[in-house]
Amino acid sequence: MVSFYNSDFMKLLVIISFLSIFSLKSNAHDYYFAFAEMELNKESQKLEVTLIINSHDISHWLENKNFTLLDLEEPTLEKNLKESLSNYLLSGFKISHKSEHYKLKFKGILLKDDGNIEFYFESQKKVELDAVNITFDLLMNQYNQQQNKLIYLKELKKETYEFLSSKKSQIIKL
Amino acid sequence: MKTKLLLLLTLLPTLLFGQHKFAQLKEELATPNVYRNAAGAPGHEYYQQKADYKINVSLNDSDQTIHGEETITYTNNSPDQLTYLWVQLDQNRKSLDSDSKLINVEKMENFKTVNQLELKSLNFDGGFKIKEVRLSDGEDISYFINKTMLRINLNEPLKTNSSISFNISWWYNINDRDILNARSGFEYFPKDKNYLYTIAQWFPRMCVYNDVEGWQNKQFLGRGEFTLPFGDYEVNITVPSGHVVTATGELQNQKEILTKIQLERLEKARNASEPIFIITPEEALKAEKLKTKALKTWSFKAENVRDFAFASSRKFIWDAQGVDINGKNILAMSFYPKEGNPLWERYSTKLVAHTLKVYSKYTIDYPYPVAISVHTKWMGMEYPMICFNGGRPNDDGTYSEQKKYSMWGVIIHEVGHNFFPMIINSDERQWTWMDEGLNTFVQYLTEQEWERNYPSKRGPANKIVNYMSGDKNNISPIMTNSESILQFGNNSYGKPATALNVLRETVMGRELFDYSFKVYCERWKFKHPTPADFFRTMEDASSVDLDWFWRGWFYSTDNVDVALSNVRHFITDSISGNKKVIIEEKVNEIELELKQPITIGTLRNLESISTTLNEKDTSINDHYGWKRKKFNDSILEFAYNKDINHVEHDFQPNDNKYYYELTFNNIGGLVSPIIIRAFLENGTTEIIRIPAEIWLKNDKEVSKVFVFKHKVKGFQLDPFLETADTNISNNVWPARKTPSRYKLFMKNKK
Repeated sequence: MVSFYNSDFMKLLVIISFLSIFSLKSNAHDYYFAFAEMELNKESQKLEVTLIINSHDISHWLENKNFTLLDLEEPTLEKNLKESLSNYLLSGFKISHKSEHYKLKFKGILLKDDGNIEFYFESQKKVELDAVNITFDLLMNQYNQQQNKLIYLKELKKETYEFLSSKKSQIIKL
Repeated sequence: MKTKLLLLLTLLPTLLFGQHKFAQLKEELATPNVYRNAAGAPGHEYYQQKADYKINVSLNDSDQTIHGEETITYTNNSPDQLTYLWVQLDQNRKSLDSDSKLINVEKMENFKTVNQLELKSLNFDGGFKIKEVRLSDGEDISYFINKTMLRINLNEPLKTNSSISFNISWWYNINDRDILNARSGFEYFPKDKNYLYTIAQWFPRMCVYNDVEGWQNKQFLGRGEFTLPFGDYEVNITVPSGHVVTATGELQNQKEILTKIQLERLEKARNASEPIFIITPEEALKAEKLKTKALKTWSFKAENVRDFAFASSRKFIWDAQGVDINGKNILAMSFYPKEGNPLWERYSTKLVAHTLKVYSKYTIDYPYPVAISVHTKWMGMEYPMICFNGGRPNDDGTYSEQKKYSMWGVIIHEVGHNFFPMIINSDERQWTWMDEGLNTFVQYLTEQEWERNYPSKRGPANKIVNYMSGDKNNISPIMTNSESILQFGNNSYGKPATALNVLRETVMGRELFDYSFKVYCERWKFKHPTPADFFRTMEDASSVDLDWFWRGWFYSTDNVDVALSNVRHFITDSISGNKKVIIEEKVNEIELELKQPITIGTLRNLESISTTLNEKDTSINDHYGWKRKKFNDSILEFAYNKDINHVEHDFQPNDNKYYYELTFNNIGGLVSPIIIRAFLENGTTEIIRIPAEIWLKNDKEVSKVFVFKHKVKGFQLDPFLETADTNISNNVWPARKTPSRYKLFMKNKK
């Protein structure tokens, strides 16, 4: 195997680029979901967020950035790509309270066996609020049927919030 | 007023009970009749039409056009006289005035690049150019083209048990698949200036006429594929002499077409247990460079098929091996350019052979003489005996693990389509799930026998929960016409495959399910089944009332979310002599420690699949094999550790004294069996399986009392992830905090 597979991130991007051109039937797009899981860390008072995206969906982002396999093999591109990809994802997942935006910091990526990719983020500053506004419209411009879902972990319970093109934002009580 | 009251009284039972989760499917299913009986089998007067074809076609490699003339002999076996015949013109979907383009809903945001936008203005003239339609005796006959359908106006009605022969000649432009996506087309390889053609839905084909639809002449809009009558084909395909052609059926003139060495290799391959090259990579490379103007005609025959497709290129490497299906020797073959290697020469034909074996076990014996896998860049599409499959490695021959699994999955899936719908010939234009869903289900079974714990994308219940728990406005019931389906892949492939797995693992059990499923396949092979035939057969052969299951899984968008909402604990104790009383005790709420769940299929397959193919044939394992082994080792370790070893709950013990009342809430709406795992204080676990009928009288909330020999530490619902429960956080008592994905990631990172 060639050397770029030594990097998990490069491997991930290579896989994404392959999946982008592969589906069972021509024109079929099977995935219309993006998921987020969020929890308020009681100790750090920071929000911990996992975005779960199917690799198939990110392929369009790669295409639009004109990335090719050869570009991805360049190890020097890794950092820029990572930041750029994170920014792209976070443009579709925003946390705010009134006019204040709570930026998220990239913490890691994990490629799952099922073809999903999990992106891990943490809020840069403490979120000492009763509620936040979440806008989760990732991929909605791309797919008419896109529906996103946020699971908020609150003590022993899980609260589920759905986001559609007609309902891109929701208030979450922390 | 009196009439209105009468109407209300008449409708009252329907209004009250019609939507009941357990109501029988009386209104939804067609009334049984002499053509299709109430047991789900073909009735005593079942009939089907026959369409035989003789076709001469030539492929023009210089301008990428195809020219053909065909003679169709159509036999009317129906009890009806036919005054006209309908013929499908699928290529007209690519004609300049195609409805498919007009009905495609678009937003400017859908066009992300200038290239995509320019594609919208592409004026590719791809429809059929019909040159002539004439009766075979030379008599004129009138016809009318309505978009993707051609009506032949018969001069005299076609009577029962009589035939008519007519000729159609035509041509069309073949589309470049890189520019215009379609099931059929060509790929151009600029480096060696060669074309690879995969040609399908390429000739005017008879529509089905039957007892269900009359003529199935619903326009072809792109999604709902097709259904066709069975018939015999004789097809002569003329191509540049350097091309290699593969097609539905058996090659008739191989002695004229193939070299002596190729003939010898082909003969050897028939009895080979490993793929043998008929055309080697070196020979294919040489052929790529020889571009002569001479032509060659390849002749094929196929009997009792519903369609005919072919592929042609100078670039083809060709390998083959024999497959024994209950004493019948089938030739499994693959055709691929060098760009498909190393994946294709290593796996394609072996996958074809394996698929035929496993599908034959669960459905019917594969009846045709050959099964062929042809390489394409990325797509997958099926036709009788032949399918076009994606999976192309990088230019340097490297490939990701996901690429390999995609290629494996698509070949198994498309070869599997030989069974659904090519032989068990359901109507794809109406019901996508009847072929895609059933096929995806058997694909899952086949994948699991190819490699231990194969990471199947679809099939296991837990794979569908994200889809089923989504917003209901974006979900269609499975019983939706092919063209109107929202979220096509999840609806038509994933959900029905999961439903059949839930039936097999949880509702019916493997023995009952496998028997009934095979009965359905045997009953409807080389016939035209409908959903009702499937639903009825599965019940009739098993004596399991499944109307609630079809209603919930196929006719609704409900999902399973059963919550364990309350637990109460009681004991009996003696007071004042021998008199016993019931005392409620406070429950001890200590959080359970739960391990990562293992799915029911994985657990049962450890025993039911003694050896997977990759355990017999280790050459299948590549450099990614260590990852799979590591995963399997962890499953084995987990499966056999004491936490997973459980006993079935004994409902008739003698010395029990611990009573637990459990309350269940049906939050998702879809009624489901309840599987309970009890963790006893003595360290053992017991499994209790409650049928879905517990919800018969109240489908919102039910409770039940269980008796144990020992105190219970906790309960868990759906412990093997077999019901597609969309929220497992409310399945555990005492309620426990589920660690977030973020926390698990950070913990593992350390």
